[in-house]
Amino acid sequence: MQDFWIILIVSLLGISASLLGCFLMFRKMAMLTDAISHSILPGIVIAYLLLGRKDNVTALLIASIFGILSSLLVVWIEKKLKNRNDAATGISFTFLFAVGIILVTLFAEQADLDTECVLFGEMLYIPFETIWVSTNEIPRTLPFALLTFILVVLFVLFAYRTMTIISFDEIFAISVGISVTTWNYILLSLVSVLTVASFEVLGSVLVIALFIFPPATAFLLTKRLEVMFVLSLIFSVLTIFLGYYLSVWQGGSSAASIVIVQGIIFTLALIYNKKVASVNS
Amino acid sequence: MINFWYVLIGASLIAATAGIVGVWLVLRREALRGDVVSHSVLAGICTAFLAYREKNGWILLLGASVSAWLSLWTMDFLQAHTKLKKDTIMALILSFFFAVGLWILVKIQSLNNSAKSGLDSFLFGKTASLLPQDIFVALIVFFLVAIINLFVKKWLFWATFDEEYSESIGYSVKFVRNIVTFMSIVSIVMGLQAVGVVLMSALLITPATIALVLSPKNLSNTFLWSICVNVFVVLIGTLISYFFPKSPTGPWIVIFCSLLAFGVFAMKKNR
Repeated sequence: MQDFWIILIVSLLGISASLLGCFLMFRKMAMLTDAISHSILPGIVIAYLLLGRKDNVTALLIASIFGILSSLLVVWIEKKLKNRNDAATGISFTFLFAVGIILVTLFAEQADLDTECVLFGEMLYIPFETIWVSTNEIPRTLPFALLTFILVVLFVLFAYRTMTIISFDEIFAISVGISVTTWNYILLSLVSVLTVASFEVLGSVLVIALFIFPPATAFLLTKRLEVMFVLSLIFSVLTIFLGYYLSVWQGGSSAASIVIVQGIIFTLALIYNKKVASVNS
Repeated sequence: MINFWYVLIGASLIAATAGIVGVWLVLRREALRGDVVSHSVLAGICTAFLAYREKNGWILLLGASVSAWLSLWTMDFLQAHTKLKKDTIMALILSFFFAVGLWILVKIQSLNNSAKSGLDSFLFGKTASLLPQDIFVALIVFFLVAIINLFVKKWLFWATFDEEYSESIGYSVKFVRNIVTFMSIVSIVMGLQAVGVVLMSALLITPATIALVLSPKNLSNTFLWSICVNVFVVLIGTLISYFFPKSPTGPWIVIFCSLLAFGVFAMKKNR
């Protein structure tokens, strides 16, 4: 039952992440997940210090705001620096992450966080921190995972066409009256919320892999958009399953094991991609 | 007290090296590549430790350089052989190498070895853990980078801003790339002990950006500013962290440096 809960919750988060990851990849915003996953750390600590609990929608929102805050900071710095987007990103997220680390080390006792769980996440604790919903005992993280999953699926269903237009022909999108900035911020907010929800489970750096590896693997195997979405869902669940059991079997961090499996599957896809290319040419 | 001076000198040397290399990374728009490399270095450090079971500076540096080079090579390989975009590739490499590093780190922590405690200082930095032999390494690396920089500044300049002209006057763009790669690897590997893998990119990017804002036209002055700003913030950060022994040094340095940067940006008019 414990394994079931862990795989279910991580898969819900993983599926949502890979769906958003497809759009992020098309929009050339992959490194944004890196920036956001670092930037939300002070938000998480502050939310916890203010509210005293992690299992709270308010906490989720407070922490997510920091993701958006970091992108506003990037925009502000970029204006000062002749469009040096990479430097602007680098400055703003390292600043917020540093603030977060200091808060964690100063208020470690109150916040029930330490630098270890910032980096590794606490996947194995999922089944042990439970809440009661009527007569059923469920893991505390389940409602969040489910909530973000539903949000993301709704977003993909409703915004699929718009997002593909923006991703592949931004000028056309603007000319037919789609507000690219608005959609960017919606995407950004969803990424922030999802990153906060996955943070506890996977830690601040490995979250990035959950977003990017499945879409990138799918990208190597197909040119058709719908197939790419479906394939990345499959890869996401498959790698979480295999990675989790790798860590059960071999020990080591479960989050890291999942990412290592994702790397292996990606390499296999790359080899296949090269084989097909050499046959075709 | 002697230890205190060691720390100050070592930290300044590390900061000065990062200051020089950072300017090139920012000018060449490779700031996030630096972030990827610094995250990937953890894998090399942990593998080297696992192989030798002791915290020998040179061996850890060797491991770190190998994994830094490997991550850069993989990035270039994927860029040349797939249609994946640059940022996607960076995100892939960063998370994969860091995962390998963390995986090995967890393995090491389950070992019964007293030397393992020092490895944590590579995550978020601990300038207080600098030893006299580290200062020696830092000194060599600083002079190496400074001398290379003096000799190849012109090449780097043209290869960065005008590739065609650079090739036409005989400065190979590819060669210049390799030089920048080499310099960034050594400076990142050195800087880890001060700020750690996770925040290393800030030590490269932030002071260099401040310097470019303060002196956008004259490159020599940019280098000077970058070095001075970096040494200044590293020393202040180290001092602050003495008052908060529970916290690592890296975040203090980064916070102080970022606040300085925000101040400088705020005073600059929008263009």
